[in-house]
This record gives sequence, C-alpha cells and structure tokens, in this order.
Amino acid sequence: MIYFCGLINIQSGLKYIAVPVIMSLLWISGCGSGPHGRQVEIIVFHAGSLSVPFNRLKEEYEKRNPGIRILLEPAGSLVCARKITELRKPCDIIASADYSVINNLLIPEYTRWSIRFATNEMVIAFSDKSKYSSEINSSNWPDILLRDDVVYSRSDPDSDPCGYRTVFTIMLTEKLYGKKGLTEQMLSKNRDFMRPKEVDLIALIESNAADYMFQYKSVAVQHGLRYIELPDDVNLSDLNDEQTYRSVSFEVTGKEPGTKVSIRGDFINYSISVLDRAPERDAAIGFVSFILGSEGLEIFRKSGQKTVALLTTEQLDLLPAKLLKGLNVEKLN
Amino acid sequence: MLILNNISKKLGDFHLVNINLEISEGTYYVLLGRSGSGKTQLLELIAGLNSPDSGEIWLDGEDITRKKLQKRGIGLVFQDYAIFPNLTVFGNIAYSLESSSGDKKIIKEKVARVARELNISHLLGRNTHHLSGGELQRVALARTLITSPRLLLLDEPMASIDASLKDDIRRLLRRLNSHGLTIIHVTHDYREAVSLSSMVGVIHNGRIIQEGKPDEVFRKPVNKFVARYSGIRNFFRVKFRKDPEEWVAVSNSNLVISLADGSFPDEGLLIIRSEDIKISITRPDNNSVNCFRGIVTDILPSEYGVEVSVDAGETFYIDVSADTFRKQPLLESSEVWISFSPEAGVALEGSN
Amino acid sequence: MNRYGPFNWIFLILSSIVLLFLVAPLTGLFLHTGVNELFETANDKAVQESIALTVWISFAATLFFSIAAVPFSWLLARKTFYLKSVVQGIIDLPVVLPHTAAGIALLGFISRDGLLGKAASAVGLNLVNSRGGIALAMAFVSLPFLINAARDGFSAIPERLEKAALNLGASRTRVFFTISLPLAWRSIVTGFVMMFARGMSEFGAVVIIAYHPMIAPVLIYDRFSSFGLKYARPAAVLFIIVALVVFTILRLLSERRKSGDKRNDYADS
Repeated sequence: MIYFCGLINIQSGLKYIAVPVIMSLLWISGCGSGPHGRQVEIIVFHAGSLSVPFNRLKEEYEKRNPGIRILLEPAGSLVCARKITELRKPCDIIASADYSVINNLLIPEYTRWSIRFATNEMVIAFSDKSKYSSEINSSNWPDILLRDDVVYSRSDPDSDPCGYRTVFTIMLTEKLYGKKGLTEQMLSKNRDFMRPKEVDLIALIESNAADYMFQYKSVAVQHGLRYIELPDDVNLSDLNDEQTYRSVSFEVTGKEPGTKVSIRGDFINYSISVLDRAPERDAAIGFVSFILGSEGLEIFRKSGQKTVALLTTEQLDLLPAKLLKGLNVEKLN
Repeated sequence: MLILNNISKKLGDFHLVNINLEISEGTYYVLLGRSGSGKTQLLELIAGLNSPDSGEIWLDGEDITRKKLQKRGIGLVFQDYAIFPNLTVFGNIAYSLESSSGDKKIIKEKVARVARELNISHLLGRNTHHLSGGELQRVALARTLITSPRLLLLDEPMASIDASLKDDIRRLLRRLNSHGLTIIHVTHDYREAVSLSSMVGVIHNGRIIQEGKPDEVFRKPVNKFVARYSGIRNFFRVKFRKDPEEWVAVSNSNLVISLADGSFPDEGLLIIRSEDIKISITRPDNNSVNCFRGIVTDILPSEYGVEVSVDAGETFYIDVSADTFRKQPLLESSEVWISFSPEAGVALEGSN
Repeated sequence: MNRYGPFNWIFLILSSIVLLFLVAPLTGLFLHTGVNELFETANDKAVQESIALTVWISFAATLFFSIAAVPFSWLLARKTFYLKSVVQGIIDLPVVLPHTAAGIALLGFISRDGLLGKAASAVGLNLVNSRGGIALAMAFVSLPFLINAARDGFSAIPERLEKAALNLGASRTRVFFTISLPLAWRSIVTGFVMMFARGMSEFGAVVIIAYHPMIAPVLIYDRFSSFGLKYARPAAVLFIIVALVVFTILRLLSERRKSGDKRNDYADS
C-alpha cells in the first residue's frame, strides 16, 4: 500500500546491506594468504627476459605437480632484489639476469648461494616497419642508429642489467672498432625512449614508436622480431671473450640514491637462488631442481635462450643437499 | 506550566540575555519580535534542540534544562515546516509513532484521526512535493499534534500562508488552544498577536522588553521598539506641558495635540494608533479637539483596505477600511480633516 | 536565420573535443583488437578469474569501508571541530599521493612488522599477497571519493529536518537511518560507484602489496611486460567491457531503488 511505502524503517534498511557485508567480510578474511593446506604457492621473482621460458616451466611443472601453484612476478633484476631487501616481500626463488645482482645485494643476508644456468646475447632488434631495416647490418649499425630520423631505444642501466649491458656493447664497439665518440653520442641520443626494463622496449617496436632496440636475443626470438647479430667480442655472450668484456666499466646508481657504483663488463650470466627465508623452501628447491634439470634447460633452449654448458656456482659447499645430489654443479673460482 | 529562569545563550554573534518567562497552562502566548531578535533560538532552547549557557527551564514543575529533547513532550513546528521529503504525508504524520507502538493498525487509526481533525485525510497517500503552504502546515501540525504535546511551539506559522488562508489557520489555532493546548507562537506580525494571544511578549536584541496582556502591551508600549512591533506608525517627538489645565504635546512643527490626563515627562515621544484616527473630507462639526487639516500625500493599499498618509504639519498614517474607502474615495493631494480623541495619544519617555 | 548562435556552437565544439578525446583512444584500443583474440582471452581461465576477482574485491572493499565512512561523512557534514580543515586535508591525501608511494606506505602498515600486520598475524592472517591486502590498497586510494560525496550529500540536507525528527521523539540513530541516510542516498551511491570504480582500476598501490592474486590491472601489465601489446590488449578490452556492464547495472539499480517517481531530493547530485 502506498501509505506504507512511506514508512522506511531501520529493519528493512539494515537487511539490505547486512547480507553482502557479512559475505564479503567472511570471504576477504578467509583470504589471508599463507599455507592453506590445499595449495602450495611458490613465489618467483624473475627478470623480464625470463618471462617466456618461465611461463612454460610453470605450465609444465604445475601439470606434473597438481598441488603446486607457481606465482611469477617479473621485474627488472635490480627491482626484484629491492623487493626482497627493502619491501621485504615474501619470495621463494629469485632468478636474475645478472648473477652479480644476487651476489652483491642478496648474499649473505638473504641467501647464501646462487647457480648460474643460462646466458644470452646482445642483439639489435627491429621490425619491418623500422627505418632503413633493409640496409642495416652488423657493421653499419652505429651509423644508422645515429641518424637523426632514426629512433633507438634501450633499457635503464640503473634498474636493468640489459641497460648496462647495452652500454658495454656500445663501449666495446667504440673501443674495438675504432668508432670514436660512439658511446657519448649514443648515450645522449633518444634518452626519452629509455625504459625501466628490456621487455618494455618491445611495445615501442611493435607500435613503431621506435625503430631499433638493444635487446636480448632470446627476447627478440620469443617475440618474433627481426634482429642483427653483433660480433662476439661485443655481444657479451662468449665466455672466451671474458677478458675483453672486463676491459670496460660504467657507473650506475648504488644502493643509496646519490651514490654511484662502478660495474665492469662481463659476459651475460643468468643465475637463480632459493632464499633462506623462503615461505615454501622445500617446494621451491624442488622447482629449482626441475628448472636446472635436463628437461628444464631444454625448455629454455626451445624458448630461444642459450643455457650454459655447465651449471656453475661460487658457493658449492653451501648448496642445499637436494640440489647437489640431483644436479651436476661445478665450482667457479 | 513553563518557567524560564534567567536563560542566556550565546550563539556566534548573537545573544539571548536573561530571559525570564512564566507561562501558565492554556495560555496562547505570542512572542513578538523582528527577525534576528532571537525568537527562533528561544524556541529551539525550549524544545531542547540547544541547551542554554545558563539558566533553567521548568515544565510542569520539572526541571527539564538538561532533559533529553525526545522526552520533553514539547512539539515544535518550524517556520518552513521541515516536512520530510522522503516520506509520504502518512509517513510524516506517523513518524513519531514508529518508535513506540508497532501495531500497524493502531498507527493507521491514530493518523486517520488526526488527519480528519486537520482536514487533510485526502492527502495521506500523497508525496509531499506538490503540497501548498497551507497543506504543508497542516501536515506539520498533524505530525506534531499526534504526539499529544504538553506545549506547542510555532515558529512564524503565518509566514508562508496566502492572505486568504490566514483566517482558516487562525481559526484552527484558536480551536487547538481552546481545547486546552498551551501554545507559544512566535511572529514579527503584531496582528497575529492581536487576534490570537492571551499573553504577549516582545523580544528585541535577545531580551524580553515587555510582557503582558495584548491590550497593555499595545496600548502602553514601554518604548519605541515595542511600539514599532505593535505596528504603530505614528510617532512624534514632542514636548509636554500643561496648557493651562490640560496636558498637551507640542511637536517639532508646533502641532498642538490635546492629551488625556496623566503624568508626562518634559519631553519624549507621542504615539497614536492608526486605527484611532478618523479621516474625513469635510471638517467635523463638533468642537472636538485634535482636529487638523492636512493634505493627502500617499494612498497605499493595505491588508485592511488602504493606508492613507496625511501631512498635517506632521505626517499621520491612517487606516481606512476598503468599504469606507469605496464609499468615500480620497484623492492624493486633496484636502482632508483628521481627528482623534485625547485618549489616543500615548506618551513614551525619551527617545528610547 | 541561424537558430543556434555562436554561443551554442562554441560550446558544442568544445564538448565534442572533450568527448572525442575520451572516446578516441578507447575506440583505437577496440579496433586494434581482433575478435578472435578477444574470444580466446575471454576463455582464458586466468583472465576470467582475474577480472572477477578485481570486481569482487573492489566491491567488497567499498561496501566494507562504507559502513564506517558514511557515518564519518555525516560527522564531517554536521560538526565543526578544532583542526577540521586538517582532517579534510588528510582525507584528500590519498588522491594526491603517487600510487607507488601509497603502496609502499600501506606495505609498511600491513606487513608482519607493521601495526596492522602484527594484529593480523596474531589471528593467523597474512595480509601481504592476499585479497585482504589488495582490498586495503584499493580502499586506501579510493576512500576520498566516497567520503567527499557522502559528506556533500549530508550537507545538502537542511539540519532543520534532522531537528524536526528529533523533536518528534526519534533517537539520533533513528534519525540517521530514516531521514539523513535516505535523503543523502543519491550522493552516497554516486560516491560508492566512484570508490568502486577507482578501486577496480588501481595498479601502482596494489602491485606493491600483492602481485598475486592478480587483479586485472596487474594482469594486463603482466601480459604486456612479459608478452607484449598483442597479448595485453584483449585483456584490457575485456576488462573495460565488464566494467561498463557492472557500472551500468549499478546505476540502474540505484535509480530504481528509491521508488519510481521523480523526486527532487535535497541531495540531487
């Protein structure tokens, strides 16, 4: 009756909201994370360039181990480390594009070992739509990239190993191929097209906002991009050229803002570790032994990434027993 | 039944100062004052919407100064009625009943009864949006009366009522009061006081400056302000003297006005009520005193007919009823005679 | 004779520019996404879960916080108190705070060393990397919208109405639920929708608290950074469509809720 529509009393009002409120509260509170007893969740912080192989590893591993969920969090390698050291975010496994990140920032407080398992190669990637894409090759690229109408992109040396590796490649080219002033010119050009991590550059090429990017070969392959290979003595992939690589160095932001740290060129070395305080340590070690086992490494290779011939570590005696047993790891000096 | 003892309240720029009131049961008390004089604030204090800085409020022998407003049993009808727009008329009227008796049937009956009394039964199902001022007021009254208040407070009840309906409302209020309901009716319009009140209080700048039966207050205002509120428009600054046996008042323009016997100061204000002055085109034949010739300077329509301004040395404002004016129209700039008895003049001290 | 003088034309043109600006990028997004990709993405369980999660968490967070926020807004509307403008400023802070900063601040608060985190672990809950933590992040950045809208709604109600209700014998609680709340309802709902919407789209603060479980904004970014634009676009488009549907439904429901006739509430937005 119209009369009673006018009577809005407390009871009906409360009823309307009580049910959804209680439901939401129950649901949200029931979702603090942590071991549910039902699913084991392994948290992996990994470098952006490892996204594709790691996604495949995750699929495969979860298929074989139904009670396990792998949670992948890609970020620049330095950001991965900072999430652990400064934000104290929970993490089981860290896989970095540069072993020195783990060595310098995480050992010994957060973990005591790391294993090097993969490598990569610096290339210059581009698409059909890029300017002069039909001309460019491994010797004329400096001239082309320096042209005014060409835009090239690279990642930020302060947050991403690919960034400082790009710088090393350029420096080595200047040094070994007599391109005087190349470093200075390149570093000051197209600064607006610098991005926090290497995989962010992909979008620039795909949308034709940039013509060329310095990139890991595996990433270029995974995304179906064209690329030119660079000579071994500058592309940081050859173990034999280690001394050459070490002849250049560059300053990046240190641990504190305002401080600088000098890093030396080195060949590209991906390394992986399980943190001491990993919430799911045992399960994590299990996953790592899968990653570093023959099947895991095969997945990397199928994804276009080169793995090392031999797994190496500097902390052989500190490796967890399970890994020592199942894998063949050599000590590095 | 209501006693206010030394009530004071400061509210921003505004003060209520030492208000003392005593209102017995069944009184129709009109509180007369301009806007800003504090009348609304006083009502809110009595109702309990605010508490006084100092002083006490007693209702039927009980100190209610600190009593919760929901329990005071005092009904307040706001100036713009404050009808709840989200409820129907029924919902508004039934609002006070919701917390107590839950039985829908009983509520329906009570509401129907009050609605009948106030002639708004036909509005019960309606929304409040398109109701006229008069209808809204009846709804506001209904919703307050249904609580059977001991005391009813009305803030400017006539403010939004069409002139043609004011009579109806006045009749209604008189009826409520005659059934025994004590009413405090706040207004700026002295005519409401004249037609309804059994007691009048004049409030000015936060103080009550005069109180008493309407007759006393309007015939013998204590000062200029009360006089103004009483709607008196004829004020003259005069000197009083005995001339020789009788008292007269002499205005600045040397108009000599005969007065009834009494005591007078040397100088002060003389006031004459508009309705006490007669006006005619021809000179009145008897030898009445206070007969002056003047020129009509302005004729303005008023509620009672017309208000005629006549310059007879001083400017006099005279009320003429519509009927009289029709029978004997006056023209601007025409010559007229005004007359009034010596009793009509009332003296006020000084300039205050 | 031109019926529409220059005034009308200028306004029309300006309005079109604004509308175009808002619509063009979205249209571009939609056009670049193939229908096949869209279907594939729609069938991807991870995407479905993510979008549902996002909508549900933001809704629940908004509902949960509105219980405390609405009375708070009423206080802000009705009472004056010392330092009120400071409080107002604090309320507006989350809007101005860069999202990453907000996330970092919240993380400190809810991680195991933080105030709330300690309390949570006492009951066995871990807020980081949890839906609860995400809800907190969403609520933190979007509360100002609800508070301000509700406060404006309450302010628009003449205090006289509440006084009249009190005079008729209603307790303060009853006045709040039967008079204040219904009259401010429209504004409150608008505020609710804004808070809900804003929460749903939050990325920067949430990603610091919890990368997983993945809400849609994080999913889109994850797909973008791991696999590129082609992979991210369909997810973005799907999310937009779902958001549109949800908000349209919400709007329709709220219009209907307060019985059919057109009322000129005091709190007309």
